[in-house]
Amino acid sequence: MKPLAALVAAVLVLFVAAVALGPVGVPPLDTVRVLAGLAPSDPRWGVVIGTVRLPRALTAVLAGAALAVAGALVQTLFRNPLADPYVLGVSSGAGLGVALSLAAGGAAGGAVFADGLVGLGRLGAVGAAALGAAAVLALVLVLARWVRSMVTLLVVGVMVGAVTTAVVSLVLVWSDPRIAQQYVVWGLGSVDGTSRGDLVVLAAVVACGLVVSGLLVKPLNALLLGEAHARSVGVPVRRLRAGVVVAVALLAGGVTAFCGPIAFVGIAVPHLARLLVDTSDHRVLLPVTALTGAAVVLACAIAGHPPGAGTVVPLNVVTSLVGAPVVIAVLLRSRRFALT
Amino acid sequence: MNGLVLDGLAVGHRRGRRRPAAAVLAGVDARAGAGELTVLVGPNGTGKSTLLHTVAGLLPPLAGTVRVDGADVAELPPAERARRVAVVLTERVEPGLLAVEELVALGRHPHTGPTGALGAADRAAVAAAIEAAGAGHLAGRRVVELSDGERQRVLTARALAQEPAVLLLDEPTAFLDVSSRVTLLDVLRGLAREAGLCVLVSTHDLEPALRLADHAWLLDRTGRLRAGPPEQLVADGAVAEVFDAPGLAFDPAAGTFVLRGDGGGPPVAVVAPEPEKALVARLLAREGCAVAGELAQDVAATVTLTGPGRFAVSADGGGNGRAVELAGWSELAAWARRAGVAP
Amino acid sequence: MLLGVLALLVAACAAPAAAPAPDCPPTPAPAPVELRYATNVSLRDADGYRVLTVEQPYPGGAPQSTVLLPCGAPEPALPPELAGAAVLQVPVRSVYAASTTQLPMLADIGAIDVLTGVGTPDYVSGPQARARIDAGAVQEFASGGLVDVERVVAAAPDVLLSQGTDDPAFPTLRQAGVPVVGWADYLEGGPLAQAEWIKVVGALTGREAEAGRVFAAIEARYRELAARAAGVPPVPVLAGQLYEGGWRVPTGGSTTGTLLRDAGATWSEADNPAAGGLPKDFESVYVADGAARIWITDGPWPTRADVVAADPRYGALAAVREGQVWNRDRRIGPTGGNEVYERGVTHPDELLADLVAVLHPDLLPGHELVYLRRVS
Repeated sequence: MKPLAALVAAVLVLFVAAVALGPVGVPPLDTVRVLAGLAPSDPRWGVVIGTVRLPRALTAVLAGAALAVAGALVQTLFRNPLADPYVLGVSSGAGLGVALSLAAGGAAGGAVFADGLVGLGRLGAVGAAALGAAAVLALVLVLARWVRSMVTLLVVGVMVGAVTTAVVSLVLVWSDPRIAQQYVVWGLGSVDGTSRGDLVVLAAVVACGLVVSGLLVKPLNALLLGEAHARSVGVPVRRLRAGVVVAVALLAGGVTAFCGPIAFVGIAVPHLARLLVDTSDHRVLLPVTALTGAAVVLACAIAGHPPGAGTVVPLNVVTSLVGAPVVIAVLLRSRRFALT
Repeated sequence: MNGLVLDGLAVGHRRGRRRPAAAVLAGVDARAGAGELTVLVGPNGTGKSTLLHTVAGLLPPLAGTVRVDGADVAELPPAERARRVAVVLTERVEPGLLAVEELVALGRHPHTGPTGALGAADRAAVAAAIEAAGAGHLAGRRVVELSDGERQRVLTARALAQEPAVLLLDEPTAFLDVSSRVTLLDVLRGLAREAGLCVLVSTHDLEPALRLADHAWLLDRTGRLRAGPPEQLVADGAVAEVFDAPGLAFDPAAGTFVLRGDGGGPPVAVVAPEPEKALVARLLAREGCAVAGELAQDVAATVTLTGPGRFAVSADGGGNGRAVELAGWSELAAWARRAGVAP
Repeated sequence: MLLGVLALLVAACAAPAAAPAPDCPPTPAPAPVELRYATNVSLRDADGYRVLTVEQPYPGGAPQSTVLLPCGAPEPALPPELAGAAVLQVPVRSVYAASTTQLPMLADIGAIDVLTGVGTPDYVSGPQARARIDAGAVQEFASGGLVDVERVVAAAPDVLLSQGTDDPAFPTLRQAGVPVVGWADYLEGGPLAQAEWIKVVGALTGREAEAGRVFAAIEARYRELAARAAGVPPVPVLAGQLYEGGWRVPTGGSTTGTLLRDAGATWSEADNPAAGGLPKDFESVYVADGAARIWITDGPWPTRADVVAADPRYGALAAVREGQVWNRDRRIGPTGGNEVYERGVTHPDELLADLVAVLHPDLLPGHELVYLRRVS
């Protein structure tokens, strides 16, 4: 399939660019040497490529693929072109976990105020975020059993997210302002700073999520006919809903736990994918969405650490600058082609 | 027993665990045979949609059973039920970017494997379904670009691709224009005959339905369902009972609704060949004149067709006397209005 | 009685009239105050009063002047450029201090007793201020960072010293008769300039002589230490840390940078005279300063494992692998406040001594560290 091959090539090219380019100029030969596992001419290049850029590129690929696929799932399930994976409350839940751990760390740590996130270390923050996301999604799943229509479930998810965000604000108001500031930092989203151990866990979680999504391809296609027709064709709609929530929990929850909330990827990339392959068939759409998401986040990561300059642009700033025009373009052209 | 059998069926919506369900219909016994087109007719609000959804397995029955070829629909697992019963509903489908073949292929869902990939048999079934539904000329186009009538055919093809034993359609003609409505019913009748399907259609188009269907289920406002061949229901007066309005009556002979004339107007004889004779009679009845036979005595006037759209109206039997020449149906209507008013 | 007059004037919203209070403490005529390092503040003597001017009371703010009127002096005729300036009776008897840097200054000149309010007591660590807070003589007026207007107006202190930021409450306070002095000491370019603000506290409390003495001692010790460090080759250090995805490297002209240079350190931006920090990314910092074996930063990290746990990329730094990592949090008060932001600012000589001892141990053998803690 031509577009698929072109996308794979694009992702590879961007991956190499993300590893080879950056604020510090590393000789290309050394880049190749490090990637091949050989020793570079200057040991510093080994650190720059191996410890800074390579984990960032790998995280970008995983985060982009996971969030994009989660967005596609949610857009089909809710028949809403503006749904994003956080609509079920994932990022609010993760944020609640982080805020609570920050507040607890600051209080229990007793002495130092700037403790909390830093004192618990990355693993503590990741664990807290994952627990928070899982808790909120479990709540949504339980509520989904009593809910008949998809629209109601969408509203439930948005409301749960709103309540959670409000609780987070409350926690932050009652804590040290420096803790509130650290929460803001977490909220900026970042694909930097993942260790080897982090990457293994993230890859496993994302892989599980993608597998679950793959199993949902057939019923999701049937859902394009609408819920009633889908049921008449034999789709177990309740189980499909649960399956989507689980997949979103793994994909979006996992990524948010490690990287913080990354904006716009989940909502904009599925539309880009539809533009590329011009079909609603999920058997084609999901792999294309995953690859497109990886490419987009890689490109944003490269843009956030521009070669030559020393500045760093936070990831969410770049994704928003890219994503918002895409969403606007989709809305303006929605008369021309269908949105799902 | 082949086809659809409803036994003591009660349908309605459950409103949660605590509250008792509201039964829209109860004690329904009816049959729809394989190879036959059965229509479900009745005034609005009588529960046609609820009944159809329950027969399709989308709503659980409150009491009684729905059997397809002997199997209880409510007991079947969803995939098995989908292999026997296919539905086309009124809800508008947003097909996204799907092409006609892709949408029809979704009907193979109960037959394909976990990925939904189509085998040779599936592709053949899809092609056959498209042909049978008369959508062959639409192949290759996107569903979103089709007209309502064309889209209806594609949805019907999708249901056919399921290779069901029973095909249910809920108001399929609701968004269609007149020619499409008639055509669709005809297509469905052909499908029933040729593929041996049991086709059940709920519709508001009473006249073509009674004309084309092999079997009819008539729902009245009291929740009673009467079933039988359409002619039987008409002859029994059931149709008249359900549908007659103060100004309209169902004419069994004509098979249509006709105005109830007061009969108080002067009797007028009509001399003309069919179909003009029936048309003149209709016009006169609308203007309040009673229509008498050609050879009737004591008629107040006689209308004779003298040419295309030209009439001669003479009073008193037509033998002697003045004959007024009228050119055009509008003039005839004007004359009839005056005549009908005059004592 | 003055306080009562002020309280009544809250409703009248008029400038307080200065009636000579009967209980003016006898003070000698104040000597002119000379500020040799500080550029953001000036004290100018005029006929019968003194003008305190802060050039930037908060970042980007317009210069603000306050008239300091000696107790018992008649209301002077103010020139037109001072028309809107607040008039403050000195010496003040009650001070609301929003910044912890003001407290050691008060303590050092023996004026801690005029302190009646602090912004957030939990941040306060200095022993004298802590004692006064624990004794209940000090009110909290800015919990959560924002000034509680009602509390301040009700207490009606003689003056409120801000923390160098703007607050929407300040215009209301001024209208209610509480003068606000924009205390932007951190906008000064160097540590001695910041410490010299003790002379402003001296002018407010009528203890100019003590303030001058204290600062002279600080200045002398600072210069002596800097001279010693200048005599040995500078040691490469790594400064700053990751924050919000970037690494802000202190420049040579900033306060942190000046301290490091005076302590005999060198790093990539040591010769950069700019005042702020320079935002960079991890790679550039790693390549420029990653080989330095001493890393002085804020952390806070109890152990090296915590450093790496905070971000795995830190593990690539030489200071983390085989060198020394120092955090500036050795001296934490009983309620969790870090004294490096309190006395560490008003006594830069002590911080400089710690830095010299860490960078050049043989210059200060036997020195006991006050603020720097080695990450184990």
